Amino acid sequence: MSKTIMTADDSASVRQMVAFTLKQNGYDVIEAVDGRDALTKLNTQKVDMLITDLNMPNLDGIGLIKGVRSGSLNRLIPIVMLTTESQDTRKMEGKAAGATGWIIKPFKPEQLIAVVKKVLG
Amino acid sequence: MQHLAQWRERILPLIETLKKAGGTTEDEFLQIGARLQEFYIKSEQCSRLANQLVGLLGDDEYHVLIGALQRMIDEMDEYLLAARTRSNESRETLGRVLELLHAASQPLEGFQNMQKTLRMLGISTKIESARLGELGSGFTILAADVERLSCQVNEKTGCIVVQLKELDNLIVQNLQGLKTNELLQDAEISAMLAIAMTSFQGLTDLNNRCSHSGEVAGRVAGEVAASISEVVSSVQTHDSVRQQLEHATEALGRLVEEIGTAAGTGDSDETIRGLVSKSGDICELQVAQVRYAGRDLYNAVVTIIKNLNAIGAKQSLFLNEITTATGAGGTSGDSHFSNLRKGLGGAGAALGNCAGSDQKLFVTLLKVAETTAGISSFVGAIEEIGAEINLLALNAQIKAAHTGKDGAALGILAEAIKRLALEAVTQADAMSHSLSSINSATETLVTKARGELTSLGERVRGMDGKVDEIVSSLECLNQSTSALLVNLIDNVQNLNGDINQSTSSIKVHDTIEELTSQVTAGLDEIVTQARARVPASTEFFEDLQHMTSRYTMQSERRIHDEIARTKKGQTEIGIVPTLVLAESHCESEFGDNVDLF
Repeated sequence: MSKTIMTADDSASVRQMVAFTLKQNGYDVIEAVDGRDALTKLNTQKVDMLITDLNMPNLDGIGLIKGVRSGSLNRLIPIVMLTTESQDTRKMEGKAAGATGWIIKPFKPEQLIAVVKKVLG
Repeated sequence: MQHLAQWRERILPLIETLKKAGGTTEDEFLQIGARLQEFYIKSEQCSRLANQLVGLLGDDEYHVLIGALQRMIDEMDEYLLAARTRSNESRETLGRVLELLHAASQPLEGFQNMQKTLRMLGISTKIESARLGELGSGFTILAADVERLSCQVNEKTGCIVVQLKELDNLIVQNLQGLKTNELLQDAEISAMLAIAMTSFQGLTDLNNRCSHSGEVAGRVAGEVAASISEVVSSVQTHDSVRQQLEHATEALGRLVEEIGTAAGTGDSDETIRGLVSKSGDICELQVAQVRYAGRDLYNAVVTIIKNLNAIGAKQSLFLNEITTATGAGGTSGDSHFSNLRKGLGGAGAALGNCAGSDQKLFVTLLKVAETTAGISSFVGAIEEIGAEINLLALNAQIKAAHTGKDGAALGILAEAIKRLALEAVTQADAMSHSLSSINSATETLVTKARGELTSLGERVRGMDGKVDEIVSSLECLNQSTSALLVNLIDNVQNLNGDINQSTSSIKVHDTIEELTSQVTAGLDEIVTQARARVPASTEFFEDLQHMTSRYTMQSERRIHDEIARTKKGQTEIGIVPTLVLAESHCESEFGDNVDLF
């Protein structure tokens, strides 16, 4: 059975590229346009992994991670940040919130797939 | 203060242009992304077809058929060799039979002489018995019997002569025909097998070339994947450029706000001077940011176009490789198959002719055996006649003895007749012996041929059946590959057409270049005016350092850093170390932009 991964990003083209890469490799993908949209969907739907942007309207990536970790349905899933930001302070912030990993945009499809495989075991 | 107000009015439309540049490109990138997925699917379809094609011509089934063909050609060679060995053996036997026939015909002359002598002796006996009158009356019957028997010898000898001549002709004709036929058959079989071998070699080469194409398929798939990877990566540039433009918009927005606030409060000259300097600093920095952002996006789109075209080009390259490997449009494969059928079919037919010749030879051998048996019966008859004459001569001798002195001449005649009779038996024995040798030689060959001919006929028919089966399987394979090739050509052409149409319609980079050029030109004017009023000071460098914290993206900080270097003329102070400290390079197994906690 294929695994389901959520991609949360306010950029439709980035979501498109993430979804394309994941689907190409046999994963099911759910898209969310921002942190709030992602959290709403994650409260009702079980996923295997979350890939989220950091800077998003309504609810940013850090807020989303905190929301997921404090919820019940998906609180233990791996969460990887996919962002243009590369500052260590932001990374530490993400790690403290409960992020599993950090990918600086732009990603290469093979990189993303390698990370997904690694974190999904 | 008036110029600040003018700058404000100049910056406001530039902000709108920046918003337009950052906000209206998303759809175009989404379209590129959607087409990428389409091209990916089509490219995968091309790769699948190409792999299927290469697989068909390089897989086990093809190897099995090629192997079966090789065995078939070997079997035909073996058959021909066996046929020739058998034929040589038959020729030798027939040659020996011919010699034996000549040997057998030697006693015939003796028979003919004996018949003449017997007739003369019969006449002499008649004369002598007439001279004796009453006493010789018994010898008249002897003379009549001897004459009758000599006629029989003559008749039998004549039959033997005719049959021996027929046999001789039959064998000589067969031997000549056999040699001529064999030469023709050998030439035909060699020519046909040469055609088959050429086609076989062609198919083997085709198989090898397709195996090589299989390696190319793997390389092309890797290169297409790399191109797709480049496109995926480049499409994301839009996101970072959008953010860069948003940040520039925000910075300019704050400057406009500050100028607006200052205009309302009527600040001092020094404050205005500071604001002019700051306007120059901010505008100069945003010129750099916008210019770099525009260039990044332009380059990314060029990379996208280049790599999308590369996907089509790689598939075209692979198509060329395959069409070269299989022959132009698969036609060389067609000619191989048709020539193979022609060659093997022709060789099979020629081998069938060989079997026909064998059959004819067998019939000849049967005829030889049959005729020899007929001759033997005549020889046997002569032998019996000899025995009968011998008995008559013995009776005549006894009678002559009883006749006394007057019968002495008749006794001598009877003695002569008896000698001839014994000679006839001896000659007949000799002839029987030769005929027996002929029988023995032909019988061995006939027995052997009778057993082999049935199996050889079946073997030739079996070979014909196998050739048909193998070539039909290969033709079926060829039809599949031709259909796949046509399909592949269609798909690759379709993919290339779509890609060309799609890439030629991508104008987003030109639009962005135009918009960012408008913005940088406008901002450059303000920078020039601002620097004319207040030259850039060391404070700019400090401001840059202060502004660094606002930039979240590595690319933005790099631009910032470059301006700082230009202004300061050195790298050891301030910003560069700050930047280095701000970022860590995560050299993970996944690359330097991935960090797993």
